[in-house]
Amino acid sequence: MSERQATVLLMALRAAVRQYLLYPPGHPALLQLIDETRGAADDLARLDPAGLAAISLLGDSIFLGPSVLPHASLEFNGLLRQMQAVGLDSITFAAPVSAGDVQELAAFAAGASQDLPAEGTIRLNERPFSLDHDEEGTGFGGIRRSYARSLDVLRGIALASQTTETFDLTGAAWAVEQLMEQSLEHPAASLLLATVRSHDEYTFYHSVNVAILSLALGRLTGVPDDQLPILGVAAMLHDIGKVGVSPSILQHPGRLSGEQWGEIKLHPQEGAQTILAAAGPAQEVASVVALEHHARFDGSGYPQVSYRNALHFYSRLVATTDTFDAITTRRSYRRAETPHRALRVLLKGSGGMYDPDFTRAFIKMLGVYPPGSLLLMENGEVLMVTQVAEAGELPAAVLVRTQAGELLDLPEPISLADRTIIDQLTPEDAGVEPAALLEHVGLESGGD
Amino acid sequence: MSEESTPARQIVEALGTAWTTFGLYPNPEEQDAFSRSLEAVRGAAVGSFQLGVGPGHFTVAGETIETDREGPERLARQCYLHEIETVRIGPSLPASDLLTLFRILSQDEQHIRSVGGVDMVLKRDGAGSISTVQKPILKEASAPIERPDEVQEVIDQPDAATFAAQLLREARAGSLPEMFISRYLGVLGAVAEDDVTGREEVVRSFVEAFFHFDEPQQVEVFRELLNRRQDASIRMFIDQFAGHELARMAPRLDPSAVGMLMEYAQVSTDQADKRPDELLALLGSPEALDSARMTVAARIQERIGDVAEAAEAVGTSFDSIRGQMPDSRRLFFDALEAFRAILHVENREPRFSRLMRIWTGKMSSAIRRGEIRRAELWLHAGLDNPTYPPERRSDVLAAVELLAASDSSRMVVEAGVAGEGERAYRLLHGLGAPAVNALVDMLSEEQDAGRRRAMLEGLTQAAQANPLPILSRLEGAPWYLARNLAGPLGRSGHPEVGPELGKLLDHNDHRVRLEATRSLVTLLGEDSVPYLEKALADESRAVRHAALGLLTARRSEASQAALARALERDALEPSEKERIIESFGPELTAEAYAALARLARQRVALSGSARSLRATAQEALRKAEG
Repeated sequence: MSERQATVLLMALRAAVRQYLLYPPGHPALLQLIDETRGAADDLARLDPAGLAAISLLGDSIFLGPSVLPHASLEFNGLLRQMQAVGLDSITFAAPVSAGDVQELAAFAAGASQDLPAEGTIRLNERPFSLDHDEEGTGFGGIRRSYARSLDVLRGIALASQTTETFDLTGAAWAVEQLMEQSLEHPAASLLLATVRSHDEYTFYHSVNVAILSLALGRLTGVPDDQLPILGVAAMLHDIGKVGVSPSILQHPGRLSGEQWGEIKLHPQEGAQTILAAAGPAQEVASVVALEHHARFDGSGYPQVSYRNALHFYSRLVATTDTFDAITTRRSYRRAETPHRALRVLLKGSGGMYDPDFTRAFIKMLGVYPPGSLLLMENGEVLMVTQVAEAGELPAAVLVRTQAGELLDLPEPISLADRTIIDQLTPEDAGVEPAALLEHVGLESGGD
Repeated sequence: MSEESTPARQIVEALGTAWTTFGLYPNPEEQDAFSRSLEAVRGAAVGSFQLGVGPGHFTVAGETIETDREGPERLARQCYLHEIETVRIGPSLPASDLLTLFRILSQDEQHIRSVGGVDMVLKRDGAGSISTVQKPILKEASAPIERPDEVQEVIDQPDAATFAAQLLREARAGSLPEMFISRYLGVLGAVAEDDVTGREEVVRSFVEAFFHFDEPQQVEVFRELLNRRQDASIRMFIDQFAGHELARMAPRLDPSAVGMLMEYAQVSTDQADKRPDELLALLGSPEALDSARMTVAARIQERIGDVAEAAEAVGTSFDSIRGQMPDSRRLFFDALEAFRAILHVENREPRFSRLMRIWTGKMSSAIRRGEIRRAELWLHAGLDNPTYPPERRSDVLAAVELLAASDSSRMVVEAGVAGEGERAYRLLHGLGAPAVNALVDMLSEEQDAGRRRAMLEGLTQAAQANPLPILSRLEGAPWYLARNLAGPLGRSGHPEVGPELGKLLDHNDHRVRLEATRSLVTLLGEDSVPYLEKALADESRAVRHAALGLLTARRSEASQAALARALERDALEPSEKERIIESFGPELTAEAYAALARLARQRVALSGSARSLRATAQEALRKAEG
């Protein structure tokens, strides 16, 4: 609950800081954002008996009090860096928060002013809480950082391709290299992190998840080390063609019209062209995946290339991971499915839409209950799978919601033995964000 | 302004003046007229006010605001064009907000509509003191649909309770479930295929009537519906129930009916991607029925089993995957195939043009890096076995021509000179005439003999592929270029260029004529004899000697005949003629014999060389006769 509230505050603050540089003080649009930020800060502070809420910035992480906000640290990485750049390392809100103080905070964070909030409802760099551990100590800071940077790279590529600015894929290659390094060190954590979702930036988060899953599947199936980076870049950029598709179509609820569907169907060739234009000699093959990822194993997809035979190896691999991540994400036109159901969809379509060999390999990689799966037990408890099961064994799991329906701040390791699973839940239904629990589920850093 | 005018009129007239000023000046805010108008608006308005918009006038509280000024009429008309119904202006109207409104109004109304309308743009641009209301869109009344009486009767039921009572009356004599379902299916079946609204109305009427039955009746009917759930129309009925409504129904059903309900729920989940979550709550409740739980658990286990089985069968999949692993060295060719595929599917402008630029960009950057082979492969990926739509051929060729005309061609030539040799010149040929022209240009400028040799080799390769670009450069070429081009043309292996090459025998520079002589022999072989005969009459000794040497080396009938004819002419010096005679040998053609005889019988030989020639001729005849 408090992470959710903190997210609302950070979202409003980010918007206010951004708009501060666009509008003059006193502009109605800015005042509205200031007011929203004030309201969110006030709501957050009032959750504490003392009426205080402290947001701290350390390294690449955002903390609320002593607790790291891993999901928010990813999503607001840009704001975090911006605030650190002006020397902020903590912000303490004291209810009732004043709009004037919020305005001064926004101005300060935007670099437009050196004035500190005057009324005392917002205090900067005070840090009333001591931190028990630094974020680096958990060992997952690296993989979170590499995830956040991958998002930044994709945002940059998307912006560049829309403004016809020339760009190259060096950033993407670097981001993939980081992801590879981190996922090698933390394979279980990386799979759990790949459950992160965003509705507003679906394409970017989805692309990073597909990259993580594709690298893992590539590694499992023996893709040579010299090819893994290019596979990762291809997976990360497979949907780059969607940058040119109108958001109103991408987020259209319900069935698309013929014209809208026609526009969507162009994104593979658009993405392939974009990659081909930007790629150096070693990366050009990434365009194959962008072009073919919707072509389907049986060739019944799009775009239709009448003379072609088999789809490329990389395309078939990425189509598998792409489908899995897409199905497990809530969209404006359909709800999310559980990981298990997503695997069943892959299985049902195997041999037709999906490559049967990669489907089986992917299921082997994730297990019957992939990491992040939320299982409803017979007694009403909700457990979360944290690691892929070893052969013949049950997967490791933690209790996240009790029989009474209480959400645990710190999940407890629990065995699946002698327990009956009656169904799977989506994160939305369970009220749990798997990736947000990464630091609390008992995964060891360094080799998991 | 009239002393008797109302505040509304004052406001409207002031706005009209401001609008007129806006239309006349690029900087209206600096005009006194504008400032005064704004003051007048602020002064006349107490708080905020609202104006209605007519086709050429404003209204307030439905009454037209009369004014004899043109400005308000024009402003009102503009608002009307933008489909504004009312304009609301807040207190202390800022100049910036009014200017924003005017700017919006002065733009094309369709464009403003397309970006969200006047009010949206006002908000976007920060004009917080002004808001507008658009006219509502009128809906077209559709023509009434003709429906069968039984369908219309159901749709026209005054309310659900009345319909439910009617259904119960009809069922009095028989079974309610049977009657209800057969009535439902009968009416639904009578609705026309394309009458979507009618179908919806009928289903809704029956569903709402259902909920007006008492509980036992609902259970009875619902059980029968479940029994017949395989029928699509029945499923459509059950689909109207919300999950919580089904969950409330479940405890009132007998176990077998619950089982059918669970099966319907799971099937509809599978097919429609919906989950009746409330049904799950049923499972956790103390009143949960064992059969329901077992049914659901069994279904889940069955599906878990599917996935687990797939995971176990992965062994052969890994082997299969490894067998298909791409070769790292072939990945570039995979990229070329992707490009060819994009060429196949992309036919939109300007995307196709962009694709052409990407393609030529790949070639030029490869050339710049010295990767001639890669550039060549890119070229062939686009040109060979074309995948592009036929109507795009000219665009493709134009793109190549553009690249060939650029610096890239010079870089290819340099690469050829530097050692890429055959590969580079193959690429040049592939790029076509403009690229070959670049080579010719560079050759004509080149001072270094070694580099020139390399370029000549390149030209030869180019000529062998297609001599026409080179041939076209002969026209008007300076002597040194003409001479350089003659050699490659001679080695081209294309005899059809012979006549053009032959014209060089008339060149005013003997060096060109000399090179042409040699090239013609290389090119035409025996067919070059007529040209050699012509060269024998050249004014340049070097040319004559070259022709002489080439002819005498041939030892053919034609060459001997040409030599014999040359003996008769004065163009050759005596020593040259002696050389001809010596070349004849013992086997003489008739022409050669006759020529020798004429020389041998010459009575007058004034010079020593003439007498020596006569003697040589006589000796040759004796040998031939002897």
